[in-house]
Amino acid sequence: MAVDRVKGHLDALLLAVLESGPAHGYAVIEELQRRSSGALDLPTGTVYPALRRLEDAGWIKGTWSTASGRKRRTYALTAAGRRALASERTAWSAFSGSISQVLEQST
Amino acid sequence: MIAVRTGRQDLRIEDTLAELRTRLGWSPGRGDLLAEVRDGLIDTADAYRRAGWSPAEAESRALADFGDLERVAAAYADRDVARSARWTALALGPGYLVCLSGWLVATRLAGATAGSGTGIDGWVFGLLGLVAVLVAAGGTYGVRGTARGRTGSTSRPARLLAAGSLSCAFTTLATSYLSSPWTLPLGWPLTAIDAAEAVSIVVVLGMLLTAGWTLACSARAGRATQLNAASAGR
Repeated sequence: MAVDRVKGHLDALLLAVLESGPAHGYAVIEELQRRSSGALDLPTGTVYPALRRLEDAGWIKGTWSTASGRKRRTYALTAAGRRALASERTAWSAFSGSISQVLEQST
Repeated sequence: MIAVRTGRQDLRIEDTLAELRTRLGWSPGRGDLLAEVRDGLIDTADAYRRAGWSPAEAESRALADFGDLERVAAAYADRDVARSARWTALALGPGYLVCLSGWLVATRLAGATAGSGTGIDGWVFGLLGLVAVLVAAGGTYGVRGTARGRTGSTSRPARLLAAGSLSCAFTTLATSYLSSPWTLPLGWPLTAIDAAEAVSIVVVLGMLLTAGWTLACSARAGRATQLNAASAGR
């Protein structure tokens, strides 16, 4: 799926993935692909800046650790992030419901 | 050489990171950003190797999955602009109020009359205080706005915030100079009002420079985003 189609929803997708538990960047990308059955095949390079931006907003918290001699940054959802995710879910339900109504309505 | 078509040359993971480092320019925490990207690229290449690809092909595929470097660099630049705008807002909010309040209090304590003999009365400084309150409120709003920017945004709230702070700081400096051409504390002993004036000028000047820097970063990020949009449209 083209990255432009996901634009505007990436925050919610990342927050939803992290709702299951802390994860590092690659694990987040893998989980996105798994949950979407491969449909959300985003360029991996778009995910890392988005994670940092969510961290700046206080919605996730990143911590460094060392695994197999490599520095690894793991992100966890914060309380503010959970509230933001709930809000995103509500907005998405309203939006997708409206679009469905229009698309499925026969003339 | 492991082949990853970038349009210019074939690159490996470390070459890609070097290219990204160059495109990011100076950026706070750039080393950490690159370490995270390196970790992700190695993880991706490892996954391809486990799936049966040769090491060279796995690395190539990991780099291909990473996507366009310009787009990634622009996303990081957008984030830098948002961060700069937040810091500007934080400096403007309390900083501006403390600065002007301190100036006014010091002036009163010293028995001086703001703007005496210059045609600018003390009410001008009261008006500046009101402007400061509005700027603080705008800064707080800006912090909320920039924190919730979406991926690929051109950081419009950040640019507006920086432009507002630039105008506010410039107006303060101009008014203070018209009121009383700056009496920098060149003499000794240093009086309270001299110190207050000097600190005020330095703080406002600092905010002016910060806002200017934010605007410059914003323009750079905006150009990068436009370039990406143009290249995506080709």
